[in-house]
Amino acid sequence: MTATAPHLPSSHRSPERSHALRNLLVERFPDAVLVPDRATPPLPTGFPVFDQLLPNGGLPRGRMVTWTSLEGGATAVLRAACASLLGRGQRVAWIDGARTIGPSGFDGPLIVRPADGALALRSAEILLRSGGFALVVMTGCDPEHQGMLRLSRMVHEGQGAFVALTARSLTATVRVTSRFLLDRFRWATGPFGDVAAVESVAIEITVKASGWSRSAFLNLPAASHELRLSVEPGLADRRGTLD
Amino acid sequence: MSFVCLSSPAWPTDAARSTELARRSLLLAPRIRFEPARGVLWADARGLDPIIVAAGLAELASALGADQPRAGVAATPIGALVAARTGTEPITVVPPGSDRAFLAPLDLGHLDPPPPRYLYPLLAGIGIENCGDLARLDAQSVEVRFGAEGIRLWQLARGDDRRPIFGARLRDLPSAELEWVEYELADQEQVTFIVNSLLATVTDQLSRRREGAHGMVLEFGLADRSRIELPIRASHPTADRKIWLRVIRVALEPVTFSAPAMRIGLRVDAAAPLADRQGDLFDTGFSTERATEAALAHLLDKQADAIVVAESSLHPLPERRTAWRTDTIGRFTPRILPGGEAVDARAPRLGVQLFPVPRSIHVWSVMRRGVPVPDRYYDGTQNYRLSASLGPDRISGGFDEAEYNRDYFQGVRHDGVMVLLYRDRLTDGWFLAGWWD
Repeated sequence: MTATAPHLPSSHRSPERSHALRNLLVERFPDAVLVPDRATPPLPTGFPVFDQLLPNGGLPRGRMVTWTSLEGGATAVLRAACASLLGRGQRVAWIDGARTIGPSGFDGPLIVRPADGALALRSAEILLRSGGFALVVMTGCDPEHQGMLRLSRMVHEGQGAFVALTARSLTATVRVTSRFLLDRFRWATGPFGDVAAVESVAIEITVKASGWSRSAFLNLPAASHELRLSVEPGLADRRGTLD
Repeated sequence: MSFVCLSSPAWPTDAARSTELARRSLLLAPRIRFEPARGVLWADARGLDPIIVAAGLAELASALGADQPRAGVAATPIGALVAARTGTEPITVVPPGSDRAFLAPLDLGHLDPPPPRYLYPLLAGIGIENCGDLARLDAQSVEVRFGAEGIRLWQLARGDDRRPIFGARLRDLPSAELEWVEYELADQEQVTFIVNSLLATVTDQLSRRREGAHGMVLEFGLADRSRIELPIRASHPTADRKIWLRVIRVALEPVTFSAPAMRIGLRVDAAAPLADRQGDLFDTGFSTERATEAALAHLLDKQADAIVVAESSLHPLPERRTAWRTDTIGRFTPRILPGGEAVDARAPRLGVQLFPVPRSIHVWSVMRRGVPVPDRYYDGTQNYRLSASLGPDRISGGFDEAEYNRDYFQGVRHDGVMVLLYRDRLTDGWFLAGWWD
């Protein structure tokens, strides 16, 4: 005979009720250990919206996280997480497998720019295995199944947090996807009333794990690629040759 | 008492006996200096019984034909030398701390080197007859009257002699070698096998000394009598055999030999102590620091320029705005973007990602105010419709071959991804420079 858990309406899932339920379980079963307490404590990124999406409130240590949407604001969120961890004195490494870090730079983490994909994978293994880095992010590398398995083993050995921006998510404990929501973009208009710039973009992030699925919307400002020399931001920045 | 000086008015001058004297003297003391022109032989007796060393040397010198050798034992070179030259017994010992008193009654001419001739009348003029008279004066008055030579003489008269008799002691660094004549090695795997066994010896020696090697030298003696030296460097001092083997393998890979190898030697070129550093209780990363350093060293051994630091400039072209400098230190500092705006890196913000090389794409454009504006593009795999194209941002500059003239557009694709496109006005080609993420 199987028992089915009653589906609680959202109003019944309040923190107070969870707390009361936890107290009740501790009182009734004093020797029992809650599953989240048994696991290694997660690594909060310091970015509250993202942390709330993740199981246990942070990136799992010793487990692989994959972010399978390669063009959905993943870099922005992970860079912010890196900066926050660095601010707390943690070591962070960013493996730029495809060598795509742009002109806006990236200060703080240990940046590794391997010559090719194989070296990117090897670099990730070395850094993960050392256990010296709180978070290792790997981008621009799409390892094969065996490579993913090796990475999983190394993460487990080092007990750090690892996020791979890759299309494969076979061995991942937590899977993250994200997408841009074009209809929620905020546009800045120019002096002639037409669209001049993107002020901010909206993204939807979805986190899935075993027994876990959550989504959230985020608004992110967009940095400009150009060096504006004009003192007045509303004025056109006229440079170069004109016909 | 660390200096033993053996003096004789007549030393054997033929090469065979001089060599034999030097060779057998080294059995008595670890460091020997033979100066036949001055008629002395020095021995370093630190940690040894100087009387036994002196007696042994005197006996050896007599056996090899030295005439009436006399030995002096003292804590200073000048004490030992004067004792050897003026002593009437076979061995004259100057007790520690009494070098000045020993020299005091002696004439200044016994010092070595002796005073220059011009000083004698000056010294006699103020009544200085022996070393004790000179030693009693203070340095200022000696310098005023006799100059620099007078000071040197004054120091010797006081038993203050800091001449380096034996020079610096050469550091004995671990090494191992193997030589054979029965066969010739031409296969690199076999060479690596031998290097691995030599490495085991060297790293064991390093570990026993609690030292790590910075660099090693691999020497090959070839069948055609040529010799090849291959310097190998590690990114940090280590005695880890695995790390060194990996570095050596990489160094050996491009090497080809003109003849089969007959001898392989491996010696440590530079070593440093593997000292444990003091930790900070509040440094959360201290416990993993060594593991992290080892990992970074491993990484750098794999690819020397793998770890980089961005150096931003104000170059108008996005792909040339950031230069990557090889570095091993990661730092977090608040960064000022061009334009003077301080950016809090902890707030997520879409930034431009650039392809290492801009990708050539096919663009369908529409005319807007006389300028072609991209409407959709094909990147070789897929068609993308652009919901908005912002621009152009016209950037031009450079001279001759470095000249550039581009119209940049910020395109927003139908799936919401923002892309950076440009039209090269010199070639009239369209390129995809990067995307926002």
